[in-house]
Amino acid sequence: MSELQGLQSRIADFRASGTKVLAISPESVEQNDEVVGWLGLDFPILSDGELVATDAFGLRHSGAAPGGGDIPRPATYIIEGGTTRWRDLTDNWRIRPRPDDLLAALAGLSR
Amino acid sequence: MNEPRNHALWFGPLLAVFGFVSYYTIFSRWPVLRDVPWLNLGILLIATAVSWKGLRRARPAGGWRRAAGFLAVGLSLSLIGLLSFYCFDLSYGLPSADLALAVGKPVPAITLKDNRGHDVDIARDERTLLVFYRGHW
Repeated sequence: MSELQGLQSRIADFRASGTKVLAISPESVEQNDEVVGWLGLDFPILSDGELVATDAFGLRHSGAAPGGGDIPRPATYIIEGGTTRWRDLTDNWRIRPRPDDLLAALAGLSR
Repeated sequence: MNEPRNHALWFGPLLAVFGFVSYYTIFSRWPVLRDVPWLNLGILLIATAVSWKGLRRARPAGGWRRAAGFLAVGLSLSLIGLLSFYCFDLSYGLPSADLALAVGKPVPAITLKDNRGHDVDIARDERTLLVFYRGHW
């Protein structure tokens, strides 16, 4: 849970930069609500159980779920005006962008 | 047959198991310890040294203690190999990034349900950080 907890730890900074945080997971609405409550997240997790958004972003990782199902590869996008402005596609699923790197990327984007 | 106690023979393997499991359960929470598992590899190296000490002490006596010493050293080295394989090989197994939506492209109008069951359109107008999260990390 380190990635979501890391985002939560800097949520005030994300808000101060005028950024809304949305997580997307392949889990159900109920499971996501449990995670939000358990980790005390101040941002929502959207449910992409059918991998519709995952496929629209080209992020499907076939057979990568513990049971052999498909899940998204880890990926982070900055979106504005309905357009992708920035992205991080880690090349190693253990390694996710750090909140500081995301805040620097947000600061570096022109309005 | 009152042999001196050889604490290293059980402490070494115990430390080795902790050094492996704690990467997943504890230390991956901090990016600096997650990206390269310095701390866990360090614990495993110490566990190997402890087991090695236990083996050296057990060797003259022979018997089951020597066998336990070889097992302890073997376990530590195997866990170093396993953690290194996971971190430096297996976890690089991702689909090609060429398949992913590029920067500067329109986001498709897709509506997903948030954890309260409300519809959210992901083609955001306001500045949004969209994090694809696959769970448990």
